Amino acid sequence: MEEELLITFEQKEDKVIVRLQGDITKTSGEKILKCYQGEEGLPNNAKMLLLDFAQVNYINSAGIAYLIRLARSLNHFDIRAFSLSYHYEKMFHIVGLSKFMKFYPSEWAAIEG
Amino acid sequence: MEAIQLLDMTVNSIYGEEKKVLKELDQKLAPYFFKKNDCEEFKIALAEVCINAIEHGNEEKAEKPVHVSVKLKGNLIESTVCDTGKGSRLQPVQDTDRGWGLKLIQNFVDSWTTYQTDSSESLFCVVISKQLQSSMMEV
Repeated sequence: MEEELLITFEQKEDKVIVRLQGDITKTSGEKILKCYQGEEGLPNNAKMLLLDFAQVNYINSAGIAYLIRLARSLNHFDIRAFSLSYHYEKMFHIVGLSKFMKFYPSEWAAIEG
Repeated sequence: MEAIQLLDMTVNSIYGEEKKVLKELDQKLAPYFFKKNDCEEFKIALAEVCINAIEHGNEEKAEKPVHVSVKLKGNLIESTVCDTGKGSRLQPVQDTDRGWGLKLIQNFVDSWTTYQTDSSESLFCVVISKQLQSSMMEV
């Protein structure tokens, strides 16, 4: 029933776009953590991290815990999340993720800031 | 006003089964004109209650049932989720790793309560409810 999480990276100069597709839950946690653990990690010259939630349809509390760990570990980056649905953006505010990242309606808006 | 039974289903204690409940509820709510955000918030809370039942109540033992009932009375939607575990275990956030479920439930529904049945098969149940606003007023 769970939709496996796929993560792809795109680099544009000093910006890395992390495209998330699938469910963010307990089972996808390890994949999320790999974003900062080096195996599929971020380029050294990256300064801005853009998280694309356009293809994420389900996030639960276990998944959010992994996003918090990711955000805490990458707080030296300028982290920007985009294409989050209203209720998930509200969820991110409730759990304090808004301390680590800003929210934008689209990729363009996130890049332009 | 009589309550309308939207859902009365049982799922196994496996992660992801809560999505079956959400999918069914989506279909049942489709004919009604409630604000999408209200429905989505209720579904987030319902998913968290189901996960709590799967993980802590039934200790992820797949064969143990989680029973989910959802009723609609006017604009008030109410769900009761029961598992075969014992005792209250919806705990507040202890660290950054887990425990966000209760916080999400508290923020996304109007009220929540728990009770334990003392019948032959002891059940632990969580009841959540939320007033859904009509989307007809959005014009």
